[in-house]
Amino acid sequence: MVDTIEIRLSGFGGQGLIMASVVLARAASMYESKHVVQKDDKYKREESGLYVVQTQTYGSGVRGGASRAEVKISKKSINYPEITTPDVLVLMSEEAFQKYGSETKPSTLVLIDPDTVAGRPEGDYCEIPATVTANELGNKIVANMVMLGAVTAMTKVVHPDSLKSAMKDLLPSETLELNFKALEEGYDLGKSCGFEIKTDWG
Amino acid sequence: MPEEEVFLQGNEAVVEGALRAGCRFYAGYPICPSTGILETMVMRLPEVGGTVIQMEDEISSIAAVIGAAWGGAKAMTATSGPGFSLMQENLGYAVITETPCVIVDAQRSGPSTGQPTLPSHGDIMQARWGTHGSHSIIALAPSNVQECYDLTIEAFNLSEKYRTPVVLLSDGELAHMRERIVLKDLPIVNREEFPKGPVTFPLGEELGGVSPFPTFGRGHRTHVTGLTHTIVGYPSESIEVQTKLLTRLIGKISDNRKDICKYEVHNPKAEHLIVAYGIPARSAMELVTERADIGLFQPLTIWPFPSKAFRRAAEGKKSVLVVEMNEGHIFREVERHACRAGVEEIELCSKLGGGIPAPEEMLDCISAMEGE
Amino acid sequence: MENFQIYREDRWPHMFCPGCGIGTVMSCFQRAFLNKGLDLDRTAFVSGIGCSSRLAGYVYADSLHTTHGRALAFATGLKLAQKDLEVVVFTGDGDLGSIGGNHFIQACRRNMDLFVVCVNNNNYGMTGGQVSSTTWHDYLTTTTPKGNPEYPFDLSRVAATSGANYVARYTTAHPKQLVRVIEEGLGKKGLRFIEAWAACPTYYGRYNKMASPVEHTRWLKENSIHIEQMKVDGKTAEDDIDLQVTGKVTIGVLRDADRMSYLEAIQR
Repeated sequence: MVDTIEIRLSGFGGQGLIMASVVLARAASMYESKHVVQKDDKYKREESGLYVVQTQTYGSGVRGGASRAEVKISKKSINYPEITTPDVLVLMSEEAFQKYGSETKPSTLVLIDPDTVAGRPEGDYCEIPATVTANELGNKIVANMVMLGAVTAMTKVVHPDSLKSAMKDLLPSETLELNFKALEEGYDLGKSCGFEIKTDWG
Repeated sequence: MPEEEVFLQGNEAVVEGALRAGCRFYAGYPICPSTGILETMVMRLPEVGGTVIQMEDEISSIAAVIGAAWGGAKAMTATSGPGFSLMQENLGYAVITETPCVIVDAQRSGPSTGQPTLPSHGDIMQARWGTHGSHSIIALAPSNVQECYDLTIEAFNLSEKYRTPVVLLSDGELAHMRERIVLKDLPIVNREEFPKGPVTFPLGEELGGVSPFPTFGRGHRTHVTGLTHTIVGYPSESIEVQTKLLTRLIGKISDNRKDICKYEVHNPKAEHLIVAYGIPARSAMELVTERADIGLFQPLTIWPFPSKAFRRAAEGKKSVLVVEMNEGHIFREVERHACRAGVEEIELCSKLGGGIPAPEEMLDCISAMEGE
Repeated sequence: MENFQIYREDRWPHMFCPGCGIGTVMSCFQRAFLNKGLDLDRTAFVSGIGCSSRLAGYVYADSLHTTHGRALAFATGLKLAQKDLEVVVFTGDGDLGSIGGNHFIQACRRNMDLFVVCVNNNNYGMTGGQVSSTTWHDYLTTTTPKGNPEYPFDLSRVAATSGANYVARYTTAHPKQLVRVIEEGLGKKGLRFIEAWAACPTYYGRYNKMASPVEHTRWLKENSIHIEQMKVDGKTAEDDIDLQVTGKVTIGVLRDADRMSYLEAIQR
């Protein structure tokens, strides 16, 4: 049981990993539970909602360069916003694998897209064929949502309905059906993986 | 206005704060990591009847903002490192002409082009002294997305109240970070309009340091110049006039620290005191929540430095550790006040390179200090 | 007194040198302004730095005397904040053509609704007569003691090709024509650019063998040629782009277009 979960999504620009992180963060932040409005006492909030910080880094330009997004979700207020060793690591490019593949702890769930990553980590990992699945669904652009579905299945960090609500806020309505489908496919892939992380609230 | 809970990026929160404060003009130039403010303004400002323009550079952006302020608008620009350097020229113009306006600097790691998307606090001293000549400035530093919203409103309020440019020192981390915040219904300050008719009677010290604002186009027929000017606004080469002008311009900020300065103190009884602003203050909070012997003094107002409040907080401390994402911009300020408060151990914990200091790094700094 | 209809009487005497062409340009502006019946309370004057930029401070209206080269950018913000205010910019060749060059072409490109008067005296007067971006080739200044090795900008051509709606150029030897084009320009929208070549007998004149105002004004007259005359002579714009080839500066209305102005474009 962890009271804070740190999720790192890494790959290359254009895969929509930052969008996936924003969907997850928004879902956890805005749709997970009724919570007391954060008043001035910013560091001492006692209530039932989740605290969320989403950060991102990217190179100049967007497509092709290295891209990394991080989401920190907690029952406690979050001060230091960055992730040191993630609880969940999603790798969607070889460069990301080289860079972040070893920044793990024994309990880290590592999710690898086998079509975009050649290397494999020493410890346990789970292959999620996100790109292939997205292509089968009709557009590889939804590989990010396949991955997000898998992460959700393995962590129960948010309810899939919360993700769908966040997706409705953030994505063009004509793409929702495809994105929902990708999310669900990913959820099933994640479930069949056999790994999980238990959070205080999951 | 009703309060609303939203999930926003730091850049977006700055825009929402500006709109709540009444900002109706924005001019800017694309530069990482502040570009999101320009792009969000382009979407949001016309919805409330405001005007946005992308200018040809940062010099003209701040110039347009000052022009718009004289046209009666609450106006803002945002930039990052290199653009902030370019703005120094007209920042000084806003100071001497007493133009209310807000300049956001989402700091990135420099000097020069440096690391365009990575955070740093290398512009703290530039905000204070970057423009030439003797002057005072107000600069605020948020540490989370909520404060990006709150302090943008505060920046507008102070700029209106004191007729002065106010700098909001955000950074690359905050600019892109997303958090849930409340769009609070905070009090809004509006500049006092100059009484009807031409500007003919003496202004300035006779009116308590800040005179009402003679908006253009309302028959005041005012002359505004970046030259040293008399109390009616006419250029003057007189030493006496310049002395009076500078004394008033500096004094209206320095003498009002009590009203201007915002800060937070956590664990006031702790024996070690960390001084940190912006993102490092969050890392420090991580320690403060876990250790009773570590306290935090977080200035939200960097300039003018809340010296009295800090001295009170520093009294009786075994040590003071200043954590900054630069080579120590407020360190000497803290050092001299901590010395006067009788603190013997005062050290700097400096993080360079575009990263943000982790709580463990601060602990290392504290241990190093104790080990000496 | 008619002369003080648009001026701040309490700021007299002005700071300009005897024989300076700025006074002529200002008189022409006043005449045109009064002819148009414009309201000083609804007109704002913006200027940068330099001799001509001091004009804003002598007009009895709201006036913003700004930083070197940036007047057009300040004026842009002012105009956009108060869209029904007439915004007039006074500037000079150093202010507009050198340090403010980019703001100049960008404001013209946007066709920003500003009325711009540039007093071009071909050198930096306020700092003592240095070479500017409109100093003629081989002419002497304090920073080109052996003659200017560079070639000058044609500010009006720059304005016209950058998209300014209305561009006219005359010299202080042509006061009546100046009044006419200022008046005409004031009635138009978009960026209107009036370039007035003016004598600077104190520096440019003194260094270049035309130290008296009369000599300098004669030089202006002799070295300018009306655009209609160019056409009669069978010359094209190309012929006068290099001022040193023809030795003449083209005067007259150089562009009178009806392009959508910036305000029109954003208020559609």
